[in-house]
Amino acid sequence: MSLGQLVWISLAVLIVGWITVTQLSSGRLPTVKMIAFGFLDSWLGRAILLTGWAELGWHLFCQRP
Amino acid sequence: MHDQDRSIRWRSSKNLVKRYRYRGICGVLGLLFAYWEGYRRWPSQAAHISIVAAIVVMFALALVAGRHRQPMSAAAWLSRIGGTIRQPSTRSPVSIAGALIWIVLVLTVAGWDLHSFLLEQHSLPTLSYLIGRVSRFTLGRSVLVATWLALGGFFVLANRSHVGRRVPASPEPPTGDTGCGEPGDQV
Repeated sequence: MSLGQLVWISLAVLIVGWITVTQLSSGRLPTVKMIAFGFLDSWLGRAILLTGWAELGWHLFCQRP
Repeated sequence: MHDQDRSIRWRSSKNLVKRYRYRGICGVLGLLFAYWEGYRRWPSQAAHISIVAAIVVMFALALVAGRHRQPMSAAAWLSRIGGTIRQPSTRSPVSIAGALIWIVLVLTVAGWDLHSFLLEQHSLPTLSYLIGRVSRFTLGRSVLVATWLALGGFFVLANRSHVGRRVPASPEPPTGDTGCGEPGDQV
């Protein structure tokens, strides 16, 4: 396994672990849903998320991955 | 009594169908699109046109579903963010620490991806390269497109307020029929 793959797996484990911790914190820690809903409170935040989503789709499905 | 229970159950299931019909239709169309998209390849014109079309449709849906139903204005939202940055003491220390950990995680992922991209070594794959190893297969591409569409649908429909919507004249009946559907109903 290359160094890059090892780092990506470690980051994935860290992120999944942190998502689990925040979900179990009964709202004391900001969860993914709370962060997303914070952005989705206004048109501007929603537009930012949708623009990022559009860019992600174009990059993953239309450019050489 | 038994007939009444059955009637309530039937009305509840009817309300569920009524509430989620537009979401269901969009979901089925999205799955069909993802299945079809799985057979496209990234350099093809069909892939480019279809992905752009999906993006345009999603933005149009956001406008239709969000008309008069945004919880706060952009100015109020920016002001709230500014207030939190200026006076972080309004939040609990645990909440601030949690937000900081999120920021560190996102910056670490972005930083490592940029580092791998700039060095261009085979042993340092970028995140999009790893995803590309999945999307090169038909099933992988279909699943990724379906996930991407679901995420877009969440960004379009989630956290819509009921401001400006039809308010029922009578109190809410016990069956849960509020006289107005779920956020997705206006799509």
